[in-house]
Amino acid sequence: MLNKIKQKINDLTITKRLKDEDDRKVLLKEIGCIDIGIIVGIVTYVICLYTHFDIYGWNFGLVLSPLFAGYAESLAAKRYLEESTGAISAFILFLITVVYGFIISNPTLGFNVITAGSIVIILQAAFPIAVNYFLIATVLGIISHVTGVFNKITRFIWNAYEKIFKREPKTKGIYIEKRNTKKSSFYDGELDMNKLGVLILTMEDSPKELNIIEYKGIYESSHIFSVKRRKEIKSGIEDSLENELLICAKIAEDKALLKLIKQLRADGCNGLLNLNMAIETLGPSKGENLSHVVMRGTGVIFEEKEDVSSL
Amino acid sequence: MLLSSTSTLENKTIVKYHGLVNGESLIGSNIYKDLFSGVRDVVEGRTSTYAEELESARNEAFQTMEDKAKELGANGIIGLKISYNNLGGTMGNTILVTVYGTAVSYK
Repeated sequence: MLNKIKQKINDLTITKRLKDEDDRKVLLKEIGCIDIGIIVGIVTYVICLYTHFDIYGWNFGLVLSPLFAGYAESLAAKRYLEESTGAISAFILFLITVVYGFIISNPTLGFNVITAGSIVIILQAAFPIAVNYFLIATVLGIISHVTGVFNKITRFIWNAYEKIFKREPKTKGIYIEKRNTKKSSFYDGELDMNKLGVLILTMEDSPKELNIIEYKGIYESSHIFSVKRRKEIKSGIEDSLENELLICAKIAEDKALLKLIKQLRADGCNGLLNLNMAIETLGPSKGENLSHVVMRGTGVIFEEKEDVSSL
Repeated sequence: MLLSSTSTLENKTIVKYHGLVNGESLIGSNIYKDLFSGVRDVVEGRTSTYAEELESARNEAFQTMEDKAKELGANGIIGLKISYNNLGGTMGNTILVTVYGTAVSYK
């Protein structure tokens, strides 16, 4: 048993470092740097106490002394070791100031809610991760398990959500009717863009199988579309937003393309090279998103060949 | 279905140009999905989730485009272009994926 304890002590990093001469020198320098920090911190605290550097009874030394201690230690470590020692003196000063300020100078301090709260805050400041984990995970977990309070809260939020957003709104029928009318009035979903007398090609280079008689220049068209999100959310069919926006985008693309084809046809073109499409959001305004579809390409006149084109 | 972003197909002869084919897909326009994606952002779970959603949207757009090309009797799409457009949304997460190209028949 004794041998085992001795073995464990020998395995400790500090014990190993003390055996090696170079490591021992570094370790002593580290301890010296920490000592410098502690001395600077204590001196700062004494000055703050002596000069009554405080506000409403709360002494600034509680903050300044760990701060100066850590700073002095870091400066010393940088100079003598060229690396950080982790501002250990700041933590030690923190303990010293707490012990002195809360216990020694307050011998009448009784155990009540304020004292217990102060202890928790002090521990939280000293060991933030451990204490936060304990408070959030362990304490809240036990409270939740015993009382079921979080289950009740989440159930309440879900019920409220269902009550507000999942109910059948009065405006739903009117909205759907309006939407359907709007779509059918200006858009033919069955329209085939490739059968309008213009061969649309997305390639940058002209195809070798098709002879170009004439280049007519660059053509551009655009179409602006929007989806009134606020109305949709109010109408209680927010689940259809994605589908609605996608349909609007498709319609806008088709309308922009139709405008482009009209321009090309008007100028006698039967082909379009290097079609480029860009969609830009022009800026949301009061829940309404305005988007802009731009189509551009080079208008050309192809020599008509039935065997290689769909013209 | 052969998909290519190039203007020509090397060692292949294009026998017919069918014209434009396109496909679209959209992700993240749901207001609640946006809010939860904001929460996921805090816990660093957003990147992978969005990458998966984007991949799914891209595949859907490709599938639509390929179906259109097949309807035209094509066996390849050349000059393929893909674009991702942010259409706004409650937290700017509505992304439209658009793919388009030229449907061709080659041998």
